[in-house]
Amino acid sequence: MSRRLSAISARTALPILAILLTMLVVTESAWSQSRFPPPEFESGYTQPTTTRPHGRAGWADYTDLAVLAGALVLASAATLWLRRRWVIVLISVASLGYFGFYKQGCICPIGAIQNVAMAVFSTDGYVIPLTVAGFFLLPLIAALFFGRSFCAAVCPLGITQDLLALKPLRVPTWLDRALSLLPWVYLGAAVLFAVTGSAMIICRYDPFVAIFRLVPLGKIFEGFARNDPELNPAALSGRLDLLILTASFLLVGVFIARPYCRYFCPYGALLGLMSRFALKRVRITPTECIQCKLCENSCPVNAIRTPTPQAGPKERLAGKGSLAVMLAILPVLIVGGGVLGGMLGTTMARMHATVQLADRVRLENSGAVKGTTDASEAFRATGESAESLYAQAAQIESRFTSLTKPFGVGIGGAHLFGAFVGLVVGLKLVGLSIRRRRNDYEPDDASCISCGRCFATCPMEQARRNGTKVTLNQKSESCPT
Amino acid sequence: MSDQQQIDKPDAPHATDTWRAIGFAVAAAAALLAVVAITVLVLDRPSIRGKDFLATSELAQMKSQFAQNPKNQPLAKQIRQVDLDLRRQYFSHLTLARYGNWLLLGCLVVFVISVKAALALRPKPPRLGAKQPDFLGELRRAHGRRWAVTAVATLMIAGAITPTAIEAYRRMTTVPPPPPHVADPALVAKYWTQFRGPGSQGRGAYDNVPLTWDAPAGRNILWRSPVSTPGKSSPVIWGKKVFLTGGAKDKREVLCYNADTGGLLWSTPIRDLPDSPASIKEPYEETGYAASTPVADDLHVFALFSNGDLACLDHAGKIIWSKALGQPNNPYSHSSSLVMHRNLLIVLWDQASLEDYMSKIFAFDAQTGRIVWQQRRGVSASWATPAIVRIGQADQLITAANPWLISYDPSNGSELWRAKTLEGGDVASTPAFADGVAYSICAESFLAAVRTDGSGDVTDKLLWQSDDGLTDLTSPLTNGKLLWTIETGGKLTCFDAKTGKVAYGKELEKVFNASPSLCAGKLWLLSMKGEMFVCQTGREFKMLHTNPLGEGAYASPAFQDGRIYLRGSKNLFCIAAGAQSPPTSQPAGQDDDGHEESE
Amino acid sequence: MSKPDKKLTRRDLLRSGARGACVVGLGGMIGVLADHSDGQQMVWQIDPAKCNNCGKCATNCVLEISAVKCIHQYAMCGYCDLCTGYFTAQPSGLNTAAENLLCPTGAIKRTFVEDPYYQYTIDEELCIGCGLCCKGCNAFGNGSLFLQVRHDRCLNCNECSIAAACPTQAFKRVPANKPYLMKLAEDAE
Repeated sequence: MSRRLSAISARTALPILAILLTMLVVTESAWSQSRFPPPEFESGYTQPTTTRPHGRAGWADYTDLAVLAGALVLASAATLWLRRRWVIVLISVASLGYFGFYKQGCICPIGAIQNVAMAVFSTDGYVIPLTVAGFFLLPLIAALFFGRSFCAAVCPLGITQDLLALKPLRVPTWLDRALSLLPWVYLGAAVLFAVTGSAMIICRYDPFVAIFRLVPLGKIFEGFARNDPELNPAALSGRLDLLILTASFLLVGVFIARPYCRYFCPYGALLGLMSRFALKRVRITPTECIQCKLCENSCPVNAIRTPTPQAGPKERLAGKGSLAVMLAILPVLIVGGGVLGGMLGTTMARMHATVQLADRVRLENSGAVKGTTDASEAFRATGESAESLYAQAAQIESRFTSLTKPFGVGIGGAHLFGAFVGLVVGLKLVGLSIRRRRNDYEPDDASCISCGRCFATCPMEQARRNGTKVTLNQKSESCPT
Repeated sequence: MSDQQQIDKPDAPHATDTWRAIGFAVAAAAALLAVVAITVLVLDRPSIRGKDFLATSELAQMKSQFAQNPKNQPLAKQIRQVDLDLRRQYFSHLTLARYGNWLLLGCLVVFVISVKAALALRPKPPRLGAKQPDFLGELRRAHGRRWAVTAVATLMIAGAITPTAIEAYRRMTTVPPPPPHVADPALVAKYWTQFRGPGSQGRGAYDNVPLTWDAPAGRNILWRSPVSTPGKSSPVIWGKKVFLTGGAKDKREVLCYNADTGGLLWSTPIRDLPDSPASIKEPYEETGYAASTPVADDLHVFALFSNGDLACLDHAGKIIWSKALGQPNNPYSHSSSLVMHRNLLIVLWDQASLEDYMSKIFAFDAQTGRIVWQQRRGVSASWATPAIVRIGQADQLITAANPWLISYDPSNGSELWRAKTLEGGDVASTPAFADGVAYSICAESFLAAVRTDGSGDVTDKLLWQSDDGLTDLTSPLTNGKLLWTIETGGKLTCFDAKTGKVAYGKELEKVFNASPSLCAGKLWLLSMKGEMFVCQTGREFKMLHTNPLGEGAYASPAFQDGRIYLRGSKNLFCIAAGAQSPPTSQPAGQDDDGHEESE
Repeated sequence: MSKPDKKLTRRDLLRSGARGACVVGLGGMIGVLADHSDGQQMVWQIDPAKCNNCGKCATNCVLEISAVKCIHQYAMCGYCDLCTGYFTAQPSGLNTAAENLLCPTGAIKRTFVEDPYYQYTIDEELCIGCGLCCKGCNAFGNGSLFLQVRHDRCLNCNECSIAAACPTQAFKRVPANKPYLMKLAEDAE
């Protein structure tokens, strides 16, 4: 100890003097100051190298894509051909284990919407990894041909809700239709915020990812492969607001089946759209529907549509009248939505970190607010002028409020978002005015999530499973009426 | 779920009832355990995540106490114990988190499995649909659903618009904050509020200043007051107050004298600022602790010392705010003086060498000391004071350092133009300015005349440059027509300000530290021995008067209405025509150490 | 009670048409995305030029122990006796007493090499990424200690929670095959 203290070499004195310099009023990071030149060693000491551990191997991501494709194929087969709920449950538990706990729920196709939007629209050169694009496209393609088998048996968020739907209650249809606006609004907002570089709101407000991160299964498996297990769990005491969100969704999910899937999931909106045109639709009965009504209340998400009643000419006219009105107000809603959206542009721009910083710096500089934040202090330390920050923030805001100026009126991302919401509202109103003639009990293509709970209630399905042949106009043992 | 076999009567006792009960009980237990686990995990000192866990106030207090007496061993032991306890707590929290999360997940899984198993034991029969198809009813329901959609859409819009609406309302109704306090510019021009007066140009506005005096004899000396703490800074004046700074190893202070009587009104020591370096580094002997001249406005006076202590005091001597900028890395110690622009205090903080890139310029809010803007400067350490000049409707803040002469917009720090006229030099000369032209000078480069209406790098657009009369310490002086420089060795050079041609050069054979001044149409030169030479301002040299001070002088004089304030090495003098003071007993020609002057 | 219609109805035709249009649309999107892609997975990394060692890396990671760790670029280190990243400002002695050390978890180890040089290594198991040592090293030393995301620990979330909270916006996406941004270019991959 005394040897070290008494040997005040230049190497010791200089740092002490440097310490007397004390921190300046604002700290700054030195890039490489080289205050003390690297020494030349005489004792044969070899400098260690800094380790640079890589993450997952690149090919592992393509494995994920393959597993996704396989799961989609299996799930579709289970729903459309095998028609057994327990097979679907098995596949879904396996998917939950892989995509949920092993991959920690990231990257999921829902979040991939934002990445794809950034790749297609953004100007800052975002490069999308092929696997992310694949994650976005594969379930959509599957839905286009086989319906929403992704939702039932592949999506970890959906499966979590499905497993927890212990006592599903029926949501009144008017409420169900009204709330189904929300996924489209969420989709529009997510695309807007992603493209403007503000935030990835789907990821930020994902209610179920906290469960998947509870235990680091992915790292454990990879750790075992590399002989270095590390039990590093998610920080439950971190974001309290997200914990409350997760707990709320879990609790609500016990009584209302799949609340996130039905009323929030933006990808679900897209899948529903694709599913409308599916090549092979989900049918409750394997052969024909005998209108026994046994399946009517078996769907946890109320996707089963009843046969429509006959209508006389007078009633049909009344129906057409409403349709005409809804079609007429559709353009009004689009334009109105655009105008209202535009009013929100400045507020929406506040989602972006740079705009928040510019606001804060402006408030501090004008004396309207006391104290500083970490971000404003860090900004002042860079020596950049406030004016250039304001200019950057204004440029980001212009992405929301005025990307182009046709006829002198600024149209920005917020206007487009508003117009999109107007379009969705208008189309939903039109959809509610269209009468679709149905003779059978069948699931609504857009909202059926292919879970297969309805199969077991159908007597024709039971007959198929028993091997009993049923011919119509003939009472059989399995017909309860 | 399992295939349906038979429809059971729901209320009859069933063989699977006990299993159901067990299933639900297990589920309830798992749920309860999960809730407990969550609560414990969430409540378990969330504040100790990350780096905060050692930053408790208790430990911080003990550490600061320890820093003041590092020999206190029991305190050190205490610190180590607290530190160890906190670290133990942290690691046990980690373990709790690790196993707690596994437990939570396990509880969720058990809960789901047991509930599903219990429910599956007694499957419910399907509920028959009861709805009768009814077209008019369908129409009505469709109508209702459309209204529901409309209602939700309206709610969403209302929810989205509300923050914007509230914001707009708030903006309409809030009173804007009052504009920052700015001293009356007419008064700033009237008084001598900074180094070398308004704009750092050394030009006095009064014609009635006394031209002759004899300090040892007391003729025309209104008063002479001893200054207890020495310093090279110049006096600044606001109203009836004269402000000085002085510094020594054990004390730095701001002094205030009555302008009419010379009585010391107050002296405030500046010490023990938080973040101030523990031990003060000795400055370069010729510069001293208090070389920076303070700056005053109607409410404040600001002072800066060689160790980086910056203080704002009111006119009664109370410290309003202070900052320790830290010991600057400056080979000759910091000497740039403070300047003000409206409500901003501008501090030039040039340090170290060019490669170190440590130089900065700050603008502090005068009232609060908050940094309003700052800029890094690609220059090495310098000793000149900035000059804030008004050109048309705009102001420019002109700074001189090696190698750049840079002009900024003083309100926001944005750079206007720069010229590379000071390369290789130790720059101590404040830039001169008149008629839209700025003049920079240093002994190792040249004297340059630069137009101030350019932008960017204007080095190749100089009006003229000269290698004559180069100074290393004093600042040049100009009235727009002529430009004067006085070298430390005593050579006075007069240039034509427009063309740069030398009008005359005169060896005065005296030593000069103070920069020349212009007042009442005369050229004022103050030698290091304290002699003020009053000369004519023409294209020929003519000395009109020589006025002895009786002691050495380094600081620049301040010209006021009918008065001149001068700081000598020992005293502060107020010179006014017609006044008479008792003669001083000290013979002329000695500096403050009592040694004979040698030239 | 009706047989499902086997004939091609107008509705089926419309569906096929819409399906075809969607296929074309998705195909077009594949083309656009392939254009914007180089097949590389992107991962998060800290730009050491922007990082100001504020400490948020330790508190904002979704993992309990942050995936951000301090790393030591030995080629830049001065091997000082009084390391300003190891010791506090004004240590009472150059020893391991608690009042003299900066690191809250004891992750930085000091070993004697030869007079007067000491080697400083980071034990990643203990490091929490708080940046206190980096701050000291950058302010008064050579800046050889700086924070980087460690990819054997990072989950590579689509939106990094630390990136969203970083006051200097120092986080950026880098290709997965070159996931580290070191200070010394010669040491780069």
